[in-house]
Order: sequence, then structure tokens, then C-alpha cells
Amino acid sequence: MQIINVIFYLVMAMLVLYSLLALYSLLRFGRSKILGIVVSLLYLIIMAGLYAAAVANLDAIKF
Amino acid sequence: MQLNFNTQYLFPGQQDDEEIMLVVREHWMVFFLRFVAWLLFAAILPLIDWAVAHYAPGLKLAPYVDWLNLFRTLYLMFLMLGLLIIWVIYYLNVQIVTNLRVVDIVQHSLLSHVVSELHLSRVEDVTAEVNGLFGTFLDYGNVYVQTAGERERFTFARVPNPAAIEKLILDLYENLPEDQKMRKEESTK
Repeated sequence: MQIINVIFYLVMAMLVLYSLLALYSLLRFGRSKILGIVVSLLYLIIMAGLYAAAVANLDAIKF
Repeated sequence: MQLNFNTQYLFPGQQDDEEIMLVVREHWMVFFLRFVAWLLFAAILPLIDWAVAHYAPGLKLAPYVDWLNLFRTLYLMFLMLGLLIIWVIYYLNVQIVTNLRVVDIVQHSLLSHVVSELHLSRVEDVTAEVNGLFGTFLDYGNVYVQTAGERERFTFARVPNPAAIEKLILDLYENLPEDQKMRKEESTK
């Protein structure tokens, strides 16, 4: 269980890192900041929902 | 993070009196083709559901179903990240034509952002190229700007209406003051 948790959170850390890179590039270099913020918020909402579902699925696994 | 809401300035080094003539990025078909490739990866999820239902119904029972749900959610997260990256790279690749210069902003990846500028006086030759089925019917292609500088050729890749962009750049060059054109002719001697 411990190993599965570690792997899960390592995968999450990688996802967060790449997401932050993409959002930073969008907000830093994008021409329309408003579009960048709207897309970023939409993405964060979707990913937060998926993260909650993933954690719930992880907790549901019984060893 | 510095957020500059002033969209008057499109690129670093833009002058106050510089007039933006054209802002163009790759044709929407380029993004659409990448989106179709993304859809193929997205289609794996319903395919797995179908395969499990037909060939391994035991995986829909505990404890396997929990693993399957976890895998599905993680895969969906990577899919969303992939779509974001595809769109960001498409959105950040921009070509700008002003009354003074041509600017090529290229985002090769999330960590590679290149801004190249070319003064119109250094333009030697402009070529529009349309290739392929989609390019011919949807009118998109490449515009090559030959220069006298170190970077010999500027490429506007898969931009809509390349012939009009070629004409715009040539017209802007023709509108340059004569002394600037002369300087170019001297530099090529």
C-alpha cells in the first residue's frame, strides 16, 4: 500500500510539474492574458475534479 | 509572475509608433489534425471498457474494478494535460508583420521559446508555398522570407492564405523609404 501511494503521488507530482510549465508558458507568452486565465481556470477545475476522483479510487483499493 | 494586461505590445522590442499589420498563427486545420491524433488516444478508454465487458467481465468485479477505475482516472488526467500542451504550443506559435519588421515567435516545446525579428529592409525574396490536399483546399501553406542576414530564411509554417501574406510583406517592403532600400542594395554588393 505504501509503495502504491508513493508511486501515485510521484505520478501526481509529474503531472503538476508539467501542468505548471504549460500554464506558466501560456500566461507568460500568450497574447491574450484573459484567455490564458480562463483556460487555466478551466483546466485547474477539471484536473482538481479528476485528482479527487483518483484519490477516491486509490483509497477504494483494498490490499 | 508578471501579468501584463496591455495587449498593445505583442512582442519584446515593439516600438510605440510601430503599426501591427498582421498577426497570424498556423491554420486551424493544423490544430485539428493534432486534435484528431489526441482523440485516437482518448478512444482507448471506451475501447478498454468494451474489451473488458466482452473478454474479461471479471475485471468489473472487486477488487479489480478499483484498479481499473484508478487507471482510467490517471489516464484521463494525462489526456487532459496532453490536450492543454497541444493547444498551448499551437497558440504560442505566432508570426507578426508590422510596418517595420517581421517577427517570428516559435514555441518548439514548453521550455523553448524563440523570438526572431527581421527588418523589412533586409528582405530579399518572399515565397508562398501551398502543398498537399488539405493545404490546397483550405488554402494554407508556408511563406518563406529570404533575408540577407545571418538567419538566411524565415519560415511562416502552415499559415492561412500564404499568397496574401507574401503580397503584404512585398508591399510593405515597397513602401519603405528609398534610403532604407538603398542600404539593402549596398549591403548585397
